[in-house]
Amino acid sequence: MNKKYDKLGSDVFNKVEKINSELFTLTYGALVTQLIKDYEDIEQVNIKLEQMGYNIGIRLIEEFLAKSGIGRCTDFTETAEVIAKVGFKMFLGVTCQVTDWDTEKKEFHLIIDDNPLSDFVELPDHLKHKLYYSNILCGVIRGALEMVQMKVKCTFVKCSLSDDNTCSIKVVLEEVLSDLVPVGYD
Amino acid sequence: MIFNIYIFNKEGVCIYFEEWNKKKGSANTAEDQKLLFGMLYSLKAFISTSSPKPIDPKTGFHCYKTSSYKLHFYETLSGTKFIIMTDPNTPDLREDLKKIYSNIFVEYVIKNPVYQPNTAIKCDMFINHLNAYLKQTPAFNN
Repeated sequence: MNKKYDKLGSDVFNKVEKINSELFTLTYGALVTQLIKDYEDIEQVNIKLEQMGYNIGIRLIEEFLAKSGIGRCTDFTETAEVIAKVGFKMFLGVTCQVTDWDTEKKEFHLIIDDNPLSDFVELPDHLKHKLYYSNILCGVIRGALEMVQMKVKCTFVKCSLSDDNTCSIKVVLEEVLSDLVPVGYD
Repeated sequence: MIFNIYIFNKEGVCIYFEEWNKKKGSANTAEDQKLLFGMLYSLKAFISTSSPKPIDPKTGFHCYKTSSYKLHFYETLSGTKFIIMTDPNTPDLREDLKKIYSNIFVEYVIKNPVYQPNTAIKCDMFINHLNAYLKQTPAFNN
């Protein structure tokens, strides 16, 4: 299964339009800096980043589905593989590892070895373990999965900028929404 | 001959509707859209509950045909539904619906920062590209 998605990931990556990664990284850095100035409270910055990511995610999923031509996943483990190998590859050019499944297969960790968002970044000491610099990714995952009927909770557990070795996001599946019954049609 | 196109989002809101080649206009398009969505919703539910084995969306409900028209249906995994009505002799338009989704809808609606989800599509780029695409398909005027 892994091999299949590795290949799909690089195929799609070759197909999509690219932009200069430094421009992307620096723009994101400017955005985070501005948020810190605007909000002062670091927790608010984390929340705001997550919301921005969510708004990106609910649109990004459409492009993802259209370009990858992927079918419905049979279970959450497959979904995790697709996010790690195809989703991340397509939009950020890197893949990540899926680890630490719980016994019910409802919870996993995404390890991002080479997070392009945090290139060139050093956090000042007073922001370490407070600011989740790449928290936007959590929002993107939540938004994108919500559009395909999966309600998840994403949190940053480790951040390479806060002296942890790796960058790790915990994803917990809360519920699978059945094909939504719109209001007034049940 | 293509008569009209409907696009519904996952909440069942008709976000786009346009018609061509039609002699008799509908009395109440808003009501038609609601009925169509309700009908498709029930049909889809019925198809999956009545099927003896689980339905693969790829081979599930594609179209239905009456003596006077044919309805082509494509639903994305994210729940957006594309519907085109044509005359009964038109061949399968599923590939065209997929192209409309990936090359036109995603490019000019989803990626358009001014477009607010859940609202009607008013973007000219989308409308022009959609019209250009449909008008060059062999099915459009036959």
